[in-house]
Amino acid sequence: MKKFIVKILIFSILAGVLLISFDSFFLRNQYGDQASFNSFYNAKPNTVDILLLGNSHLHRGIDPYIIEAKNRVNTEILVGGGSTISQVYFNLLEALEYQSPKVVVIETWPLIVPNYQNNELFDYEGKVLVNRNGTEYFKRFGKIKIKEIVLTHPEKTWYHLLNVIRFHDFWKELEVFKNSFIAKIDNSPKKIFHNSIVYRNTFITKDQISEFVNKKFEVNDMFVSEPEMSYINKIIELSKINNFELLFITVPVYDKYYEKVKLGFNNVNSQILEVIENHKNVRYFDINGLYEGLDFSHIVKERTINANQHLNYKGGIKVSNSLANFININYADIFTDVRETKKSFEYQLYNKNEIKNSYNFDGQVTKVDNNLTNGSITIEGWMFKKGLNNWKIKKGVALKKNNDFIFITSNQLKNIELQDLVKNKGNSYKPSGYRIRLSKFTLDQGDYEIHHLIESEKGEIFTQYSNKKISIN
Amino acid sequence: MLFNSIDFAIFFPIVFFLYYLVHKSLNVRNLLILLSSYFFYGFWDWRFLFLIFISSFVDFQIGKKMHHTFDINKKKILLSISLFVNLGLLIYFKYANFFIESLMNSFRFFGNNLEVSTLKIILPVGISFYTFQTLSYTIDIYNNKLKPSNNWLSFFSFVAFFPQLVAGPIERATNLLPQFHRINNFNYEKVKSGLLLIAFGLFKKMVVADRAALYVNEVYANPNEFGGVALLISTILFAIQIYCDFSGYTDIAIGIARTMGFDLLKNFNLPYFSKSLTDFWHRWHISLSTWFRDYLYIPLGGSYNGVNRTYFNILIVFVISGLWHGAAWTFVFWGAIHGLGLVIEKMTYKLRKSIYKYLGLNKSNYSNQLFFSFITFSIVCLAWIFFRAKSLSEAFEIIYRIFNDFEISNFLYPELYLIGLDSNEFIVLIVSIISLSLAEILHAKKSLMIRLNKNSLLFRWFIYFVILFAILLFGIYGDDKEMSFIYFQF
Repeated sequence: MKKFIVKILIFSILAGVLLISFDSFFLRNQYGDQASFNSFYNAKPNTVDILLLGNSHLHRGIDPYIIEAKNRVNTEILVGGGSTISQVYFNLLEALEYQSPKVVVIETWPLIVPNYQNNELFDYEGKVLVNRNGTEYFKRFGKIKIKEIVLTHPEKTWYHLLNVIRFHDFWKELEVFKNSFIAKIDNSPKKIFHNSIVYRNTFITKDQISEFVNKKFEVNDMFVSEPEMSYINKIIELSKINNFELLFITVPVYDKYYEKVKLGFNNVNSQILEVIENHKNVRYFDINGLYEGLDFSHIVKERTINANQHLNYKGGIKVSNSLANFININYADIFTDVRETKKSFEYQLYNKNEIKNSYNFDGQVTKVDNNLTNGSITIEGWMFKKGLNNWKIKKGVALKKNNDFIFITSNQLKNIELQDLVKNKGNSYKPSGYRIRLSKFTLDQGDYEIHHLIESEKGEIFTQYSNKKISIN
Repeated sequence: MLFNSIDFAIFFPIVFFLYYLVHKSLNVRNLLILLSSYFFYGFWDWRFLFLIFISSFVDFQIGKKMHHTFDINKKKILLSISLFVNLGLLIYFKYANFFIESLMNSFRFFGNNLEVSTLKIILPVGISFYTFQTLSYTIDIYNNKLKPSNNWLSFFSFVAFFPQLVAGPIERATNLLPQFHRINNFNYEKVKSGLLLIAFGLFKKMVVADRAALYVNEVYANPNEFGGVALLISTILFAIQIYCDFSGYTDIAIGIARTMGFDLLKNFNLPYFSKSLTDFWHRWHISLSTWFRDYLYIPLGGSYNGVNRTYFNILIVFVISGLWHGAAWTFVFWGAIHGLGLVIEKMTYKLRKSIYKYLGLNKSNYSNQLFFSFITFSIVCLAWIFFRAKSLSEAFEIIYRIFNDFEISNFLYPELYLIGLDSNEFIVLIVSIISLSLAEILHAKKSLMIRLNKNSLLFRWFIYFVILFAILLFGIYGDDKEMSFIYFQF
């Protein structure tokens, strides 16, 4: 009997270790949200200065690299599409197990979302009444995850506790699971998360604009419910216990929509302001109110017209800069440590009036075409970094208007072979040609400097100012 | 409580450890078995516990009284009471509505309208199984083959023994009851082989049977929407489903009992490799077929009253066996097909033997074995159509379509394999069927446990982990996905 018990125990422990080890590989991640958790877990303990929490509006609206670049701090974002404020609270609890951020930013769309059902997604204890995309599965197996699962899945808790069991039939949708697997094994999940912001360059179409104009939107159910309010208080309580500054923010919505539901937004704003007014370490930055919503060119094109809009990259640049500047002004005295140099294009480009050319960076913009008739912009040129295998580099182009708006793109670069260049400079220049085609609406009006960017295999960043400009009218 | 549920995964280890804490005290151990068995059954619906209790109480008392009387008439009366109570409960709960509906249909057939409302009755899980088990006890005492139990706790535990309570194997008192009178010391090898058998059964049920069911259920829900090829594939898959479902349950039941030191009857022996229907019934649901043989076929005269009477007895046994499975004409037909098949086999035995001799066919030859197995499997599948169809007319429609709406080129259409399943699921289904068949063939030649024990600990544990993860990853379970065992409805 003893032999049996010992063997059963060893077998169970081994099985448990295996299950928990594989746990984070088993996720059905379609939104890139898992990359944000992977990025968070990749960060060294107690090195994150600013932690942002929220749902898809935060994911699409705030570029962590811009916050880092403008404040010289470490930033991580924990998001989950459709998260409720209760899930945000549990994400914060999980984050505090690993990090001691100085500022925690909470995006408030989960409180604003104008659907009475969403206000009743959970009860006072956090028990989920209507189950949505769960960030509980993104968490590492531990006490916070167990606590959240027990509360949110009181029935069949065992089934939800381990992702290996919950998503055991992942092999049925291998394509879907490929993304989360790549995000998991990638060394820089933060870049994967970031890509899901910068790749979104569409905007609302004319037809959709008229749909927005004609559609009725309810404001009556835009309020912070009592259970939601209890979670705001729990978050504030955590800020006191863990000694961090708390900042509630809004991410802008489409201005035509905002015009119709401004009353509802104001209702939620005043409820939040009322709760936080007696807490010195808590602030509220209503970025949406600041802009009164953003125009069509800042909002990504989505299949349906409803109250749930997300920013595109242009909108993200604008809002991220606003937030970065707000943090810079209001929390400057908190961030005294100088963080090590970050490997991001943004870190090299922001906060610099003059961007220095990297050594041995060769390149030229050969064509700038601002087609006024169809509203498209074409830029052609080439870039080459001596001393690197240029077949393996990542090329990018930055269009810098000023220190508050820099459009950086690499996924929209199409490789082209410039035969004259190759003839003059040699075969190693074959991979250096590029062409970009953009809609002018993806940029703000104004004059832009065109910068060349190269990221080596090792992640080193090189820049070169092309001495060319482009005007967007 | 289902074996493939988390409730059972919690229940069983608790019972197991309590069992070995008290195993040396027979009464305490049997009391633990009885209480845990009643809890196991009551977890489904506690109200029906009284049926098991009544059945156990009546048969325990009658058994004792029957043993102490030498008056044959009194014995007959006592046996009749046992039959009346046990079969009465079974008939009431399982067949009352069937008889009422059949009566109304008969009147309708002859142009008369008889309106009798059917009863609102829930069929108690496993009633057919434990009724047959307790009946075997009183019949064996009546026939002086068994001495009655003097220990009510042992007897009640025997009737309600949770591993085999709801779907067998249907145990004989001569085999199982004495085991409740002996102390089962902890036997490491027995426990290990029992656990492996449980895992094997879970794999059969959750990975193969429940996945095949996705295809089968889709087609059989609306058979008129599918062509002959899809109906043929789904019928073959149903044959696989029902085998893996039922033999999976049996493996788990035998495995659980084995971990507690009990030996249950073997219920399956590669039935789809049978070379004739007679052979099939020596390999399929063995505990039921031997029960019918001993308690119905032989009392009817068996094969001792001439050829015609033998054929009649076989037909009767199989029709009743069909009815035992379910209160519907489809089951009666299913039984009748098997009965008829066996009669034809017996009638043509000499003729077939001379044909085989003339053609040089030897049943022990591998290719011939394959040929005979194919023929037997085809007949068994034909009968399964009646077993699975919702009505007789639907079963005939399916058979008609298989033969008249059959285009061999349809086998080339990939969509045909993806009914109710996606492509990855179909691949997993096929791979798991092949793996299972190989494992069963190997096991039939030499026990897998013996094979495993010859290997290193590392290899053995690797195999255990493969089985565990195969069930966890490829099994069908989750939110409202626990599928009941097919034979629970009988």
